[in-house]
Amino acid sequence: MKAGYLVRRTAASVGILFGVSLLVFAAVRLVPGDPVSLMLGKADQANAKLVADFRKSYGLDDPLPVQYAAWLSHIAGGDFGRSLDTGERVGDILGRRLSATLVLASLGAVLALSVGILWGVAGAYLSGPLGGVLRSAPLVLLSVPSFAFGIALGFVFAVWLRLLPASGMVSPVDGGGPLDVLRHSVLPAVTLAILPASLTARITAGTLDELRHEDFVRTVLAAGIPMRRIALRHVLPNALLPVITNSGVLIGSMFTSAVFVEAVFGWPGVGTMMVNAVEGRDYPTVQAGAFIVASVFVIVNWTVDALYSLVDPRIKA
Amino acid sequence: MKGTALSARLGAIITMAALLVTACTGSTTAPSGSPSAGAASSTPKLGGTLVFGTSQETTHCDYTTLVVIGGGALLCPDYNQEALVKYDFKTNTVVPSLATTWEEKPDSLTFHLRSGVKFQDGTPFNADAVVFNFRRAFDKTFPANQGLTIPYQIYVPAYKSVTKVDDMTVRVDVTPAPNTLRSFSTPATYIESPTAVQAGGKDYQFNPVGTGPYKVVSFESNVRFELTRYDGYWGQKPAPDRIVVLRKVDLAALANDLLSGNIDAMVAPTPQQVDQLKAAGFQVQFFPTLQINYLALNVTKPPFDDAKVRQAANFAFDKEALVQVMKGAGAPVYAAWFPDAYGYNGDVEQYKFDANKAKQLLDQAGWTLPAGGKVRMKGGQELSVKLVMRQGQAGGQGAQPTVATSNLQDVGFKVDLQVLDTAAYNSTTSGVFSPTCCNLANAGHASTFPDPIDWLGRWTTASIPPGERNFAFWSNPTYDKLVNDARVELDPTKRLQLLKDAQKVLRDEAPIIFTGREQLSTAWNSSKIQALPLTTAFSRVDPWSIVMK
Repeated sequence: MKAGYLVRRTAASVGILFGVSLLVFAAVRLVPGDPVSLMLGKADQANAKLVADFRKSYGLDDPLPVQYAAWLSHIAGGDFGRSLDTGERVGDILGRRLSATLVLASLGAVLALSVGILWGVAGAYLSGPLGGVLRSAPLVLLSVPSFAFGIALGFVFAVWLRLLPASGMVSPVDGGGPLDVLRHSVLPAVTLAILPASLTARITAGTLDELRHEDFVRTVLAAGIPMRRIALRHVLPNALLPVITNSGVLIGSMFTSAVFVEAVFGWPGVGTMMVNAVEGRDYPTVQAGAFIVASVFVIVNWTVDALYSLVDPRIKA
Repeated sequence: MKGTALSARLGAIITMAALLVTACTGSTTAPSGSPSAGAASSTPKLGGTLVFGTSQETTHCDYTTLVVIGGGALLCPDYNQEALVKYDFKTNTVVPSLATTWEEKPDSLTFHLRSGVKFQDGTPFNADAVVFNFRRAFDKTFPANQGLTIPYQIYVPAYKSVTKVDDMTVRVDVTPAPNTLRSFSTPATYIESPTAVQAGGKDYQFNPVGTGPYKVVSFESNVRFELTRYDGYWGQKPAPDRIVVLRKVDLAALANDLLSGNIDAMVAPTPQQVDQLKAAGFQVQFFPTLQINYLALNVTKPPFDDAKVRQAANFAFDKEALVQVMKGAGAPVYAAWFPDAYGYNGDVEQYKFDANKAKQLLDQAGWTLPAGGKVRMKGGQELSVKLVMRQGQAGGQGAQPTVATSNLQDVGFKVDLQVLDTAAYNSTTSGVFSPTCCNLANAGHASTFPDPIDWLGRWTTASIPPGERNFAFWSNPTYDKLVNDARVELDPTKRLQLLKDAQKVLRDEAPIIFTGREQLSTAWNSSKIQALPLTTAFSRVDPWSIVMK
């Protein structure tokens, strides 16, 4: 086992998370406008006494280091506090929102990777106009922002053809079954998957192209092994290395792309939660959301590193 | 850079194509049913589910915690809870609700409570419940008040204390002031089940229990809430059995939801969406509000420290042009109050659009146009102003900064229009709550009652931020005295005169450009709904005004 490597990676991950927590805490407080004046402004009231009461009750009067320490110690105990905006437990909101985003992101990731790899392989090995189209399509698709796909797909399949719901995760009335969620997730998951699938297809096709001309391929070809077998047994596993590396970034980026896609499809996930929370200067929610998303990134990358160390013999303890 | 431009263009093309497709096919997907709105049928039909979409926040369902006062058309507490009395905006009178009769004295109100009323949790409504709720809302020493910040108190300024007289009678002691009775219809006085409040703790606000016609089935902040009929309701039943409210930030998503049948109705579609929805056969209707939109002129710094420049800005703004931009939604307002409402002073000269007068006033103030120049100068300084608006300001309020920019430029101002997000806009150090923010603050305000007092109270010295929202930072002792006297004057004739005199000062000093009266619309699927009007005050959907098909 490459235990030393993993230990080093784990230590680095913890350090990164600590840095993230500090950055997030500082960043939300650097943005102009504070939550109390915002809330009271929304409430159409700005009574000086109310402002003071409110600050005190949420501990916003304490010095920043004290607030930071309090926040860290609460997180350590699994308590993310209450939303300044709605008064709900941030942990409850996160649980709900995170599971919604995970449903979307995992469907998107499965779609992106499976379609992307198949597409890349087909693009690399098919000749003629179809191969050409498959090879150049990713470039075109990569230049279109995902929300544009979202809006277009929404209009065609929801508003015009009325085949699928335009937005939301469940039907407004009596929704919530697995089939209902699946129906609602088709458009956002496809939208979310288009860009990473294109990227995966491009990387797969590109790497396959390079590998096809490598010496070891020529050698096995000379040994009389059929092309299809070479492609599947020798070329593809090697081609998957960059795909695996990228998939870490790709799955992480699912969360960031989800901000746009969730907004377009009204998906009640972490993305829309973060947008609302930043606008509302809802410190506890922004901090918790950013911290959790960063943790997902770190965990996914750690997993990829671990996988990599298994696949790539060059990595040693 | 090139890639971004290309992708943006591609995105735009796809969107436009999609819009075109929708526009072309809209008529074939139109819901069936004749477009007959407003006229309620003789026998109101009970039953059915209303799925309502809104872009405004739905934070919680209890008014004693902070929620948006002006925003939101279908507000959960209004369906779940009731006050002792109700204000009837059709007749401008106070009518019974949880109290059946009352006695008014200058320093007290005695309410006789409706008997046989039960909260949705089965506990009885009585004097103890009223005392609990009023102490929770107004009494800082009361345990249930701890940790609450109750902004709605401000609408019940005369409240002093509450006493139980007998099981079904309470007396509220008040400081003598006009119109105190009607303040007991406002949100801070809503009555909720003491048992449920005490058991619910901090999560009570998502699980409230009132006496109103609907129970809360589920409540997820800013996403969705669901109401179902309370069978034990004492009064006339509203039409829908069940109401689901979906909140989505994006109005385009809501319009799509309506077009695709996911929701039955929405509030405040954009002018473009109004056209699109109408073309697809949906019903869209506009309703007047008590909201006046305005631009506050910051009098603490040049150039608006000079009343002549403020008057010039008032004459420069073309209110009819704003209504045109809004495709007819809204009405111009030329002075500090609605022309057809109680308390309006029609004798003061109104600020009607007059660019020449504006130019003359600016000349008189010493701001002159250099030869061949477009921006006026004075003492080597340009007549340059910063106008700040909030992202998400919609309707006439959202459209007026553009109109103002163009109008002010026409008479020789240089205008820097900035759009801030809500928190930056509301910041007490750099936003409109700070005198250092800008020269013009774009805003609007809805009055609680058709009475100018709330509205005129906005511009007193006491209302200067951070205390309140006098974004002009204008302070005038004569004006303050007139408004403060009107607040406590019990003689209606004298009070009316005070209100009118205050408007005269406001007009002459011109710290505010009053632009227009907001109109808001609802859009609905006419195969399911017959009428879905908004109330004039607060622009809300009153439960009893919903007519289902």
